[in-house]
Amino acid sequence: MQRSQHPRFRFKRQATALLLALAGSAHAGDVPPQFGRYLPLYPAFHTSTSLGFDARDRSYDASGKEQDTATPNLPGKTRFPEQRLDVSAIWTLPLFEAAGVPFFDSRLHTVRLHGGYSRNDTRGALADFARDTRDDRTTRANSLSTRSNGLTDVTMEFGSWLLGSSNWRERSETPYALLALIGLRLPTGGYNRDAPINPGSNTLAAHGQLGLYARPWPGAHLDAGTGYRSYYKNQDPAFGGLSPTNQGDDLYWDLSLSQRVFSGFHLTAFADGHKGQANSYADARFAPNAPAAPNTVPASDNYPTPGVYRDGGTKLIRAGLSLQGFIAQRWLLGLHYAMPLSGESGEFDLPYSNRQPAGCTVGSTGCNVTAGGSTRVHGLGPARVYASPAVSLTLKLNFGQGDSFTCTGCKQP
Amino acid sequence: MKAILPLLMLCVATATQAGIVFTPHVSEYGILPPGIYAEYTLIGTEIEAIYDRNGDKVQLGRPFVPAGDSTDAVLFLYKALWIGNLFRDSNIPILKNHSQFCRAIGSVSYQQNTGAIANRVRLFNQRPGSNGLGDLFGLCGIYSSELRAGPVKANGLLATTVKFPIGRYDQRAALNTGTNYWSVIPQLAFHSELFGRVYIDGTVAYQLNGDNDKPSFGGLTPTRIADVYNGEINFAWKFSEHWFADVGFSYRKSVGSNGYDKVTVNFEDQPLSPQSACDNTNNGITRTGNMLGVALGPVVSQQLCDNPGSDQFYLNPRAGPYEDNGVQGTLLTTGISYVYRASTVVQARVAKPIGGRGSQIDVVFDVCTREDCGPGNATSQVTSTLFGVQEAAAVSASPFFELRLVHLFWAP
Repeated sequence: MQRSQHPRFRFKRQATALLLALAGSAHAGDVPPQFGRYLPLYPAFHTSTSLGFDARDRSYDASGKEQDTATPNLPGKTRFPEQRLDVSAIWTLPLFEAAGVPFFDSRLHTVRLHGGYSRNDTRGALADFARDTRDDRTTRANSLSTRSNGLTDVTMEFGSWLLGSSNWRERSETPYALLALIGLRLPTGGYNRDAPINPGSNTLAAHGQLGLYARPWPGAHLDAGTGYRSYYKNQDPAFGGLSPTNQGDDLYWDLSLSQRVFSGFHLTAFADGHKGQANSYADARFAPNAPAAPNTVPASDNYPTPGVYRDGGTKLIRAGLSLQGFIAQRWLLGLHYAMPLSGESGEFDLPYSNRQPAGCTVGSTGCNVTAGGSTRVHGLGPARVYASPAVSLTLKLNFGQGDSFTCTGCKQP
Repeated sequence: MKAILPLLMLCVATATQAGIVFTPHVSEYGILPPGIYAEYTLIGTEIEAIYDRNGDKVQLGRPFVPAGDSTDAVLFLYKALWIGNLFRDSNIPILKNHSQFCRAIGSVSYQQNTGAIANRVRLFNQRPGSNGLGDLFGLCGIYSSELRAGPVKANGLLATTVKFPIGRYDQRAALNTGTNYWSVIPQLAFHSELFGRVYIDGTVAYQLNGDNDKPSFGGLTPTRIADVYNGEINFAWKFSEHWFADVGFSYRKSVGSNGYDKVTVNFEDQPLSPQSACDNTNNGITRTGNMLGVALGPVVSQQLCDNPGSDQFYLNPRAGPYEDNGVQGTLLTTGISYVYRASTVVQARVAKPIGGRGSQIDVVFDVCTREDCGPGNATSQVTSTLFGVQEAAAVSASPFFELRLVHLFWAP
């Protein structure tokens, strides 16, 4: 008998596939949702690495119209190309098994860490504005950067399977499961306040999530999840305050259906998205599309009127396909393609004040300030919603069983 | 239980961020079985007060910004520990009979000033915070033999830690995740157990610090960093195989003064209007600066403030040298630990500063009517008391919180 036909090995292979399925919290723009992410895994330690590419050369404006630039309010084309490496460490463990904690002592739990590295560049019209030093002495648009590379934020999660993991030692099938997750994103990622796009967010965020797993027919995995994420204040919003000071809370969701197409290979169709509440922007310091100052004698200049401004929120829906297959018993390789279907970015009107004479110190004798025009500016950072497709490559490793329990999900003799 | 206990002591204490963390944990220095261990620690704090050079608490930002803002910090540590005996099969005295250990500690962190404090930092063309990779710590050491006498079990250890300054460091930032100077920290420690219920861990360490020739935040981080000695002790009570509670005490004090040789902190926009100067010097009332060193002292007189039609002027600090009175900090800690089998420990803890002394220096500023301001054309000089900033200088008076996950990654 060939080894692959041995029932025990078949089970191990299937179990390994399930173990390797990353169950990270899915957010639009992050690693694509993958099959089995809400299935209770066998107690073990897993890692997942994802390499992603996104040209980010198209975006949605505030009305939901797709634009052939990342910054629709600035003449010319802007791109924010990104290469991103995401790494996750995932433990599944019966943490409270011997502690006598009602309900939870019979369930499986999970602890997860997510981090990575990101390279971000700014090219085109906005990069030209950042590099233009002619206005450095007269505006706050000085010392700007077009590139920000570095570590991404660290996200920590803890979860419990409320359904589908009790009696996990004796369980032979898991037709359905319900996972509850809570998490905290730590803003430890690199952050350059002078760059329009950054690897880190510079603000804490907390989230809660529910994930449902079902096996509708043999070889299929259905995963669906929804969550809510709340953001704290960004004390140093990037690029002159054109990134949100307070990012609006997000309601996000994900859905995937996977089918084993042949031995060791799974094809997954997925969709995910989010709906973000209005972002607010405090005391923006400049705009790349500032209105012209009045032509007066003596000369005048202008500056953004200090204040708090709000956009209309963000939205994204995208869909995609994944193909994943084993390259070794413990190694799963995957290729993912995600295409945005619709979205909305954050934009707001920024009023300006005129100052005469130019450069005078506001508040000093002889410095006259009057109301000026306003300009429509695009929010940056999390306020931008891109319409470009993203491709990612994932590699997952099961480090092995973390405890010597009877195998969960195994067919019992 | 033998397998469980070592998991509680994975932190062979190092001053990972000496300004925040040099604190004891349960069973920190007990002898571990050979293996590879991993530990993840999350530390969070909201610093609303710090200690000045007299040991008094000062609200952050006062008197130049309203109280209520803070310096927020989150530190995430990853620690990998190896324990074994490389010399077990040799005949080298001492080493062949005593286990050795080596450890690497890496970190990422978020340190950010908030609200009006962040806005004030921008007046000096500085960044109010910094995120990213921290310094790397590496240490190796050796355990002593274990002593057993009736209900007492005890051991010691000797270790040396080296801090590699690879962390992100920005000279324009008020806060940094890296320190930009080397440290070497020899350490002696002990662990003992009484009746299998009481666990005591203690250590003394001496932190030798190198110089920092590129100070940040306008030279308000020291260029000549004083050495620091540390002492700590921790008492833990075992309620059951799964639950522990502990109380600890930690003390650190610099040996001598920190030196500042490259002070450049100054307002970005000059000349200063009288109103701006008055707003930023608390109307000329003699006050000390805040912990960030961003509050200039009595630069202008009340008369000038009352007559805004007066001429505008320029300021320029003299680079130094200046010396503080050294720093000192005392912490009380308490926490609970939950142990799951032999593979995982979860611990929550709070640390409360109970005393301290921060770094302050008296910086001389030239006051000029011309842009190229300096001693040669100054119309007067004023002295402003500024706080030193970052790890070697600032001492927090606010509590911090810690959550640890210790995991036995692999054991032979």
